[in-house]
This record gives sequence, structure tokens and C-alpha cells, in this order.
Amino acid sequence: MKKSVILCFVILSLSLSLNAAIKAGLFGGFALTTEANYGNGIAFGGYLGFELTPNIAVELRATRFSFDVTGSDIGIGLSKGTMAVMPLELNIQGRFPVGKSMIPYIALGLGYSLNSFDLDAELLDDWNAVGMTIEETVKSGLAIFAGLGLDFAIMPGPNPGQGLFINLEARYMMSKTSGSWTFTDQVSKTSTGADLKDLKLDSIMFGLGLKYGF
Amino acid sequence: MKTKKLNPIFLIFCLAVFGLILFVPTKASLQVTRPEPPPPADLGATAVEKDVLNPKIEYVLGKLYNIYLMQGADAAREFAAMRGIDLDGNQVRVVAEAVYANRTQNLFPEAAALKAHIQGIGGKVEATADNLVQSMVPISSVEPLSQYPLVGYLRLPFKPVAMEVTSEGVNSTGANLWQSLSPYRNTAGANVCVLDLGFSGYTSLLGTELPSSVKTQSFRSDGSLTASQVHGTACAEIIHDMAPNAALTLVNFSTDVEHRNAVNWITNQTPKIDVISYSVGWYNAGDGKGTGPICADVDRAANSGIVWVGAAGNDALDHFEGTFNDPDSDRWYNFPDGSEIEAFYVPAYYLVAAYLNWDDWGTWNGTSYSGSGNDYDLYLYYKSTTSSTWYQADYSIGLQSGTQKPIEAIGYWYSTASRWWGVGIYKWSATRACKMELFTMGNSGAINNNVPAGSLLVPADSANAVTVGAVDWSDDSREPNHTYSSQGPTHDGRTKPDLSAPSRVSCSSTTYGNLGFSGTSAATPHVAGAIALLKEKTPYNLEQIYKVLEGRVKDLGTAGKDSVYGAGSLKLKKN
Repeated sequence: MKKSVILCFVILSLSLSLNAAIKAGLFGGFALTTEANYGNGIAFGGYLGFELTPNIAVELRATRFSFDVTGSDIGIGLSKGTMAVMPLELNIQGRFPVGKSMIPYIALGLGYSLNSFDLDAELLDDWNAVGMTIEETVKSGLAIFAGLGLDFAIMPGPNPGQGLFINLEARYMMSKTSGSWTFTDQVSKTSTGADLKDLKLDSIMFGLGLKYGF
Repeated sequence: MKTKKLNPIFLIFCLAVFGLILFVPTKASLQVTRPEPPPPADLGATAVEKDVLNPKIEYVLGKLYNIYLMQGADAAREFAAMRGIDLDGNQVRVVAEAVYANRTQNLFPEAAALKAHIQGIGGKVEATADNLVQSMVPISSVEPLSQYPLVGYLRLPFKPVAMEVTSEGVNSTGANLWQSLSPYRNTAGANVCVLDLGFSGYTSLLGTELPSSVKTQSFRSDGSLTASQVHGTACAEIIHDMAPNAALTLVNFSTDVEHRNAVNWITNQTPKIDVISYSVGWYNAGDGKGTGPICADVDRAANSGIVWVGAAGNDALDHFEGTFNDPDSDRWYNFPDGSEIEAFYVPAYYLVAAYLNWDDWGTWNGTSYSGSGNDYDLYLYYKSTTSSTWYQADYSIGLQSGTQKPIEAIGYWYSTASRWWGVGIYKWSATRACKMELFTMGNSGAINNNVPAGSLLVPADSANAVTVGAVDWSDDSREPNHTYSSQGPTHDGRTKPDLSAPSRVSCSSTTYGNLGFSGTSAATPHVAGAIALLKEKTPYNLEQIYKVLEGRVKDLGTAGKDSVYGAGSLKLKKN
């Protein structure tokens, strides 16, 4: 995390020193997960971009989405609950302006996904009723991003890259993490547990956003 | 002073007896006649003459042989019926314990040779296990067979007893709260084996009181799974009540040899059996310290990762133990109340039996005990219903000359009227005062000098068994209905039972009906079912499950684990 913040400062400093155009905005969208027992969820977030040249930009992005986990029938992976994922991402964009108002781009990014998991409340209550405590945690971890997007100026500014843009984007996040579970008898304190390995958090996100270029 | 004249009638009587002795069949000469002991002080009648066969034959088996030779087949059949001895025509079921030299590799070539010999003399070998050969042999070949060099000892098979005295236990333990839970990180389920005597009526309960299908195997010589006994079916019903999704395997046996083969089969099953529910017990089958052939079977199951859940026994009121005490030096044991007959009241139409063992088993080498050189005998008496006179009913005077087991047993007598019965213990020869342990059967209440402590049946004394006592399902109490539940400690001082569980519960009308199944027999499958339920629902291993059960019990009696209730009464509830 600390590294990410430092990196952001470095990029911001570099951009300002280069007089790069800055774009900031908010977006919302939909995240489709790739695992069979994971649901889909609403995604939202914000971004801060720096156009280093008309064709190259870097972008800092924070996204958050959550989805339901239905639980594994074979007793591995996560149990029934809700997974929350918040990747913090730095990506580099290759931008290909078409005229003054349309800028398609491709992006590649690297980030750190802050993950958390909440077990289903009913499941917890059921087991608590018989005196058993279940805990499942997931770790945060690295994520890799690849995407295609389009910035469309709806209120162009005096210079390219300035004004109000609508952003359409599709991006793929690849992330794998791990976690653990514990099962504890509240009475005898007898506890068992194990690590949860290879928890795939891959997802395809479709987003619609507004950006303002300074 | 008058001189006594010889009574001519007495003279004729003596001559007649002498004549009879002369015409006794020659095979009877193989017998070693023991002088008759004087009667115990409490006895108003004289004892009968007693004799024993050679030291390689169990006393009762020898007696059957004698009766067959001297009184014929009908008398032998009558005797066998009364004693619960298995006969088929003129053949008797026996167990030959082969001498062995190569035990370290668990190979018993002598047993194979013995098997061939038995077949050669017209016997039918039914089962073998280690050095034991169970067979039906002609009664007339009992003595010759005992003389065969590879026979170390010839005996009747040990017989297990069902400990039934029925399931409200599901709710009282809180198992119902668990049943609706989806398994957490567990897809294995649970496999429970009910190892019992018989499963009469089980087929009619499939899909209702029992799972829709069960695996079955009989190790009885006749191959009967039902065996005219409903006991195992009732136990299986309780397990199904407690753990409805558990897979059940029903296995039965009727002798110690079949028992060993059954356990060997169970340990080799796929999928693996998780729990054995064992509501069966044995008298005189070990030293009470967790050793002996039946406890060895428990060890074998435990070593293969199976949890053996066994009944403590229903004998707390039928049990006496104490060091041999004879202040009047008449060789008859003086019980703590001073009497030489330990009395107990038996209602009409009950079967009467008595089992004696003493602490001189010798060393257990994993296959057999080295044996006893202290010889005590067991006498059974009944009391007149109209006077205080005692009459001798039976005796067991097996020889203990160094290699035999320190056991005597008498059974079964049928009490045609409600009356007092009694037991006397006679010291034939002993170099020390041994500690006597006596169990009676048939008494309606506690025997006179009742000692509930140490009243566990075998294999409840096994360190590898989860031993279960009985409490009432409705209030966890013993009084007044469950004082029979056998108590520890074991003869080597370990605390048993391990926990207690509900009894006096309901089973289907096919078995025991409403609140009709009582005893540690009923308690045991509640614990086996609870283990299966947690095995199915939780990610715990069997060892952890037992810790959970032990941690959740309701402590009864003395604070902490005690020899009456164990750790306490089975509870799966949170509080």
C-alpha cells in the first residue's frame, strides 16, 4: 500500500513537471466474475489520469465491487457470503485520438486489490445457535488489468484532452489470492482450520463514467 | 454307654453305591475327583460330590461330556439347554485354543493343523481367528480332542450379552439442532457400524426408521443376520434418529471367535467405517484392565482409526468385588455382611446365572493370558420359599493349576418361583487371598453386598473404547430407573465410563415401542450417533469430535469426570 502511494506521488510530480493534462472522473459499472460459484456485482470508483503525450497517459484508479459467493459444494474455496474487492491500480494507456472528441484507448495496469469477505449472516447464526464460530478471511493481493476504452467529449475544452468526457470501458482483472478458515467450538474451544489457496478473483468490468479534463 | 448297631438298610445302601462305582464307564476314570468341601455356614443342605475333567477342558464342557457318557444324549441336551450351550444333534460348539510358537508374526500354523485334525474327527470348523478354532464337534470327542497335542485349552465359546433394559434422546441431547445444518467443509458423511447380536425386523424399517439401504454381514456360524434378536435393530434405529444421513453397516456375531472375524472385516471396509456402536458386553472375558481377547479386538479397531463406542453394562446392582476373606478358616468366603452366601432375590420366571473371576489372570501377551494358579470355585444355591433352608443348585469347579483362566460361571437356571438365590465362593487352593469379582443375573434389585464400583463389563474397560453409561432421557438422573448402569473404575484404576447418554427411550413398535428401550444398550447408540452427526456436519476429525462431546457434557455427580457418570451427560447443545 505504501508503495502504491509513493508511486502515485512520483507520477503526480512527474506529470506536473511535464505540464501534462489531467483528467479526473467517476464511473459506475458492472463486474462479471468468472468463477462458477461467484455472483456478479455493481462496480464503482474514480480515476485520475495524466496525459503525458496525446498518445500516452497514465491513470490512477480505485474501483470497488462486491459479489455473492454461493459456496462450494465440495467443501473447498469460500463458503456462502459476500466478497468485496477494491483494486487500487496504476495503468498506462495507449491513446489513439480520432478527431477532437473521440479517443479510443487500450490500457494495461498493475494494482493491489484490497479484498475482504463476509460470511453469510444466516450461516453464521445457524452455527452460532449450536455454539460454533466460523471465520473465513481472504488476503489482499496483486492484480493485473487489461482493457479497452473510449473517451468521448461531450463538452470539448479549448485544448485536446480538456473538457467533459463520457468514458466507456471494458476491462479484465486477473487476481488470485489466498485466505483461511477456522471452525471453533465456543464451549470446548476445540478449533480446526486450513488455508484457502488459489482463490481466483478474475472479473470482467463494464463501466460508464464521466471525466473532466483540465 | 450304648453301643451303636449297624443298620441293615444303611449297609445295603452302601453296597449299592459301591456296586455303582464299580460299573461306572471306564472313560469316567479320566476324571480327577475332588473331595467335597463342607457346606458354607449359611447352608442347611449338603453339597453334592464334585469332580473335574482334565485341566485342558473348561469345567462346564467337561460336565456336558460326562453327562453324555453316563446319562445319554437326552440328558446332555437337557443340560445344554439349561446352560445355553449350543448343540446340533450330538455335536457341541467349542473353541479350541491352539498352542502356538510364532505369535510375534501373528502366524498360527498350529491352528491350521488343529483345524485339519478337527475335520478329521468328524468336526465341522465354523470359524478361525488367530489361534482360535471354533467348531461343532461330537460331544463324545471332547475328551479325545483335548488330548490332541496342539490343543492348549478346549472351551465353550464366550457368549456376549445384550445390554438392553430405548428416542427422546435426540431432542434431549440437542442433536435435532444439528440435523438441519448444512455440512461445513465436509462432504465425506459418516459411516457407522452396529456390531451386535441380531437385527430382527430391520428390513421392514428400511426407508423409515432406518436408512433406505444398509450394508449387512453376519459372522454367525448359521449366517443369520436377524438371529431372532431385535436388539441390534433398536440400536440402529437410535443411530438413524441421531444422524439421519449416516450410512449404516449392520454386523452380527454370537461368539468370541466370530467377534474377532467381524472386527477384522469391519476394519477392512471401504468406505472406511468411522464409528462402531457396540451395545454388547461380556462376563469373565478379561482382567478388567483393558486386556483380553475382546479388548484386543477393540484395540485393533481403534488402531485402524475407528471410534469404538461401547456400553458400560447394566450390572452395577449385580456386582460384588472384594478380597477373599475367611475369618473362620472354613475356606468359604465371608462376604462383608459376614454371610458365606451372597443372596439375591429373583422374580419368578427369570433366568439365574453367576460369573466369578479373580485377579490372577497372569500376563496378557496379546493373544492369551498366562493363567491362574489360585483355584476358587463357585456355588449356586436357592432358598426354600417356605423356610430359611438353602439348597445347592449348581456349582462350577474348574481347575486352575497355573495355565487356566481365573473364571467360574454358572448359568442358566430358571427360577420357577420368586425366591432368594445365593452364591458361595470356595477356596480350593490359593497361595494368596485373591480379589474376587462376582456378577449375578436375574436379581430384581441389588445383591446383598452390592459393590457398584468396578461393575464394568468387558470391553468397557478398554482404554481404546468410549464407554457409555445410562441416564434418563428426561432429566439426566439415575434415580430411580437407571441405578443399574455399570460404574468404574477399571481394575487398573482408570476412570470409566467416559460419558453418559439417554436411556429409557422410544423405538419403533417393531422393536421396543414407547419408552421401552433402556439400559446402556440404548445410551450407547446415542453417543455413536452424535459422533456420526458431528462427523457429517463439521470439519472436525474424530479425535476433535470427541473433545467437543466431552467439553459439552452436562457434568453430573462429583465435579469433573467420575466413575459413575464419566464426564457427564451427552449434550450437543450450546449450553
